Amino acid sequence: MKILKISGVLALLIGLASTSFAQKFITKNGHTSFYSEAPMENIEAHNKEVLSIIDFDSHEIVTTMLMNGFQFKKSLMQEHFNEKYVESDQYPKATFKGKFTPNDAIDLNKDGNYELAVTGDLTIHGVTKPIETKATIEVKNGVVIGKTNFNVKVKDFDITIPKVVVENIAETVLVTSDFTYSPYNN
Amino acid sequence: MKNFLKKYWIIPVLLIITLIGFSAYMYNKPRKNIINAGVKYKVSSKKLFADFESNENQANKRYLNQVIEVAGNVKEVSKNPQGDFIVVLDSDGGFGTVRGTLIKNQKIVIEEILPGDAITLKGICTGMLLDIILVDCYVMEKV
Repeated sequence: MKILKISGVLALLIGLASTSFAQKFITKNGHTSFYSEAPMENIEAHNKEVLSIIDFDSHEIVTTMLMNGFQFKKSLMQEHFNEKYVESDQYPKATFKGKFTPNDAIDLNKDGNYELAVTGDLTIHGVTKPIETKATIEVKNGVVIGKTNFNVKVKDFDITIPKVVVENIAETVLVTSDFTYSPYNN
Repeated sequence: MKNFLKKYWIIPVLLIITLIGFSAYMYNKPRKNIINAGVKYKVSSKKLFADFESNENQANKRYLNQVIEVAGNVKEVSKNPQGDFIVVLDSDGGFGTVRGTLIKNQKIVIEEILPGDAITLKGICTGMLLDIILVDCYVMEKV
């Protein structure tokens, strides 16, 4: 039972354990980036340590990432992002938990491409909002590559941008994810 | 005062130029260079994992965003889809480990690091998912 203490994230992931392992895939090195075009300067950051589990039996997906893991080119931008906007010390993780509907029955035993309609709850900065998006799945040589992108409105997540810089920061950011999943054997 | 400024006009001009230069430097300053960065804590991978496992909030307060040196035994070396090396250190945590994403510039040949090797990683702790995550890692030494 020791592992149950590890974190709430693990408890969330174990929630998916009701189905056979053969249908579950995991990545601990998922890549999520965000980008926003703004009059003063475009803002871009990358996180390459995203944890995600996808269950092809129950059609569930759980993804979680550390806000401090987003890396910017400029040190000051990264500092402002963590300290002033998303308050990473107080809200260290962002999480998505949802379900997907594929356009066709997914066969994990042969290469193929699928489109998914994804719905679920996205939690950032301690605020949870429902989102709907499209995603693609590619099955290739036993691994599963999932890709998606969607827009997030900063104010939907109670992220306050100081008035001094409000005109220089876009209200909407484009979030892009690509995950290379391997079979989950644990 | 007028005479003073006439004679020493260069002083405020130099001050303004210095201020603008300093602001531009601070604004454009790249991320921390891990190789030269000062180390806040030195800890074993087992102790680091145990600290997070026993009290994640407290461990976050201590380690989050800090440059730390973590000593441990290598469990696995792999590459992420972007081509960065990942070194996984054992933690006795069953499910969880300490995972470090390495910077490109290393003095040690990463391909020569094998499971079971004792190494010390220097990196920035970003927190805990299933594993403890370190980014911008540099391999300090291989015993």
